[in-house]
Amino acid sequence: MSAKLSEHTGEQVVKLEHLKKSFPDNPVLRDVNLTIPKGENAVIIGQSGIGKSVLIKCMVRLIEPDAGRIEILGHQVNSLEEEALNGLRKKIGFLFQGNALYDSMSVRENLEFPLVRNKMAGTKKQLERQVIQALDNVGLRQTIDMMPSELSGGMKKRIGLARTLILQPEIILYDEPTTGLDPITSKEISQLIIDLQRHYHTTSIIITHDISCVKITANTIHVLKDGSLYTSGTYNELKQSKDAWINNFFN
Amino acid sequence: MKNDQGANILSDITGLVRFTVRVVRSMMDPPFENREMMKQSYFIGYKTLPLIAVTAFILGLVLTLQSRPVLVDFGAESLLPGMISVSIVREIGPVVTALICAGKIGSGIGAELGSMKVTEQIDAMEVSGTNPMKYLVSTRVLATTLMLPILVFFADAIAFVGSYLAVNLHGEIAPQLFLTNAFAPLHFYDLIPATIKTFIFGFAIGVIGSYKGYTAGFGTEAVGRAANSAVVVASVAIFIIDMLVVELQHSMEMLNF
Amino acid sequence: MTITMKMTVGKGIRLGVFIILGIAIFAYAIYIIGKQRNLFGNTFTVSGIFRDVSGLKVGSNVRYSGINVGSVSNVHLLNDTLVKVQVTLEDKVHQFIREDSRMEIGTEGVMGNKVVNITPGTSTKPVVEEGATLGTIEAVKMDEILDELKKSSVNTTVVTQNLAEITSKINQGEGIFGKLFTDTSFTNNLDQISRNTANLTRNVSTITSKINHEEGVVGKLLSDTTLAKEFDQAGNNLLESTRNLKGFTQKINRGEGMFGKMFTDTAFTRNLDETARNLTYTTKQARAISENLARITRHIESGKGVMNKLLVDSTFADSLDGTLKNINKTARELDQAAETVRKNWFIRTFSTKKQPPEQQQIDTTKNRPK
Ligand SMILES: Nc1ncnc2c1ncn2[C@@H]1O[C@H](COP(=O)(O)OP(=O)(O)OP(=O)(O)O)[C@@H](O)[C@H]1O
Ligand SMILES: [Mg+2]
Repeated sequence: MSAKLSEHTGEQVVKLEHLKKSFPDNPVLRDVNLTIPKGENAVIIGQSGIGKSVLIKCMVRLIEPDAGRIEILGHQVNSLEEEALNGLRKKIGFLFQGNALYDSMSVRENLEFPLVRNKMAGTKKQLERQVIQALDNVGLRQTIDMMPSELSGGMKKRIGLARTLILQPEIILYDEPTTGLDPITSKEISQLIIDLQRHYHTTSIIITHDISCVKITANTIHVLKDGSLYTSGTYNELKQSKDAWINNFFN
Repeated sequence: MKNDQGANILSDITGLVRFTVRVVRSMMDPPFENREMMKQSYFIGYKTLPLIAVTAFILGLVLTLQSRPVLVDFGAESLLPGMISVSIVREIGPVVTALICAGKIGSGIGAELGSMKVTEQIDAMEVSGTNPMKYLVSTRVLATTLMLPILVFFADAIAFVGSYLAVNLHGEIAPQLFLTNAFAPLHFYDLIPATIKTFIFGFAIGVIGSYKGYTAGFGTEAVGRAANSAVVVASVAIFIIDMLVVELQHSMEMLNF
Repeated sequence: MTITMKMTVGKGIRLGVFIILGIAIFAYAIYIIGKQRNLFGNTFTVSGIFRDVSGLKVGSNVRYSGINVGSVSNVHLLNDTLVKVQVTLEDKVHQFIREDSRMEIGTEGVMGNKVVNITPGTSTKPVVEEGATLGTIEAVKMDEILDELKKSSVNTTVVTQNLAEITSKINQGEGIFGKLFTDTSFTNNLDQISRNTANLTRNVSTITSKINHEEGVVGKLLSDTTLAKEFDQAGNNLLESTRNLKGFTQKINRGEGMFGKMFTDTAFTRNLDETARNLTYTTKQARAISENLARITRHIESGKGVMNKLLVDSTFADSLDGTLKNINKTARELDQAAETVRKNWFIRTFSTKKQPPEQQQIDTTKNRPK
């Protein structure tokens, strides 16, 4: 599980083809085609309720798509057996929009959970060290024995991030990592995402409405509109776009 | 997801049946979440005992006080312990315990899983290499199924104590004589079907609470709704199961088991 | 809520204690119930053969001197008339069950549960062997009691009919004397009355003994004290009839040696008139008895007010005893009357050709088996 590749290989780690998903009376994803190369920070933007969260949940099979192919790290996500799926999921970090911290567990237990469940805990000492390191990454070591209900919204977000990163995934899916944070913390988080990319060559998919986050982290930006990809491009390309809708979004 | 507005009972039932099949299947194959199961058993069993104890005690006491005058009229006061013991063991112990557990445990499971569902904790578990069906649901269902009978044994015993005290209010009776009188009319066909049905009650409470929580909609109000309908559906289920088990009881009685 | 819901060792221990205690309660209950049903400990079996087990079931209690000593372990048909009942008994009573101990099916409790009673045998007889078959005392059932009551009713009707016949003969007036004393059927009739009443008495006595014997059943089937009153009434009526007959007999007795007077004396004729009237009355009385008995039978058959009767059980038994005594007395008196009539030389002279009785005769001797 080494993510430490020195170069962009041009390998496509995420490939979505003709992805369709609709809920009763609500055709959310109509035809999404998307490829993301290894080591890239891909930002997905789009209006609220357009289906961004649904899209990334399809990638880890939290939601079964109606049609289409999803290939992640060379695996057909929708034809994997449970064990193989869990093996793949181990390599994918998922930061939930609402943090999804286990509120019956302490911060420590929250961070231990993915390690223990994936049998990557090692000894008690190793476990402790990993937890503390993850907390140090987000600067919240002092909260280790607190319950989630005792944390502020921003702290929760950062603990959630620490939990997402603790398995050192190859692909990280961020669902609005900076929403609800002050500009300074928000920048720190954006910086953390870049640092991870630099150090570990992780591939990231970042859903965000935060333009400053987009600006810092994005290699490529994908615009989701009306159930499919509207356009893609770098930050500068889209900022200078003549398209009125995109213009509206960026300014 | 389903729209709860005017929730269709039929689709609710088919959903519940399908969910039950999933639960049973996930309980069958390994790995088993023993630690989590112990933890749930602790909360569902041990932590519910005080509530059950108080209720059962009062129940035994009151039931005895209320039944006494009728038997006194017939000059059959000595039958009091036996009559109370049969009603407690057969019916009141299991059903009242199950109803209390539906209220406390069923709603607890519904609310807990509901809020986990709504705040994506269940999704988070799933991507952390954990089958929530096993980790969250099976453990709870197994814990309720195994703990409810034990709670009922305690409830029966404590209700006997309450009954003993009530009998004693009107004159001394030695505990030994009370027990002899209480056990005299009891057969296996009183005890065994009653015990079997407590397992079923426990299973129903666990499954229904889990189902309601697991299929909660969106938002915090969905959590409340999940907890609420868990109690309602579980309570109704308890009565229906109770009715069906009467048949079992009768057939055992026929065999004089 | 605690800071963490983690499962600790302490919680594990508490959970363990909780579970073990709970199971211990259950195990205790199983043990006690099992002990009552003799599932544990050493046992031995004996059996008995009955014609009818009155709904005895596997699991029913077995009593020895009123103590629970075991339970019925098997009830099955041997052939079309015999039922074998096997009981399992605690080893500790083995030494008391002798070869001449007997099994009997009895009733206990409000619900009339059936139990097997084992009677002590003679202490000089050897102790029974495992699997032995004991003698039995057949249970008496309410059906039989109902039958008895019906028979009594029929008997009373017969008495009534006989009396009615006599009365009508007397009432026919002309040629009274010749007819009365030459006709052997008069004597026969009186004989018949006497015998029927004796039958009736025996019937009622059987019923009473059965009822006394089967207290539970009475409680179950008899509805209220009015029934007892009716029985009493029946007794009183019979007594009354007897008195009337006695009067008649006395008159006949007084007529002894007054051969000439009998044909001339109008007072005697008047006397006989009175006798006829008396007999008419007796007939009515006897009919009332018959009706009363029929009513009682219906009452019992409909089995009204089961529970209430339970409480007046003993009163009822007393009433029945009283009734029985009354009827007994009546029968004795009727016997005497018949005897007197038969002894009377006058009547003897005129009744040389005795005919065998044609009246319905009900045999009540086969009620007790063995
Ligand atoms: N499990 C589900 N069942 C039914 N409908 C759903 C479900 N999940 C999402 N939807 C619907 O799909 C649509 C897209 O939801 P999604 O959460 O993907 O939006 P989003 O683009 O992430 O919006 P936001 O930026 O506000 O997070 C919404 O209309 C939502 O109601
Ligand atoms: Mg979203």
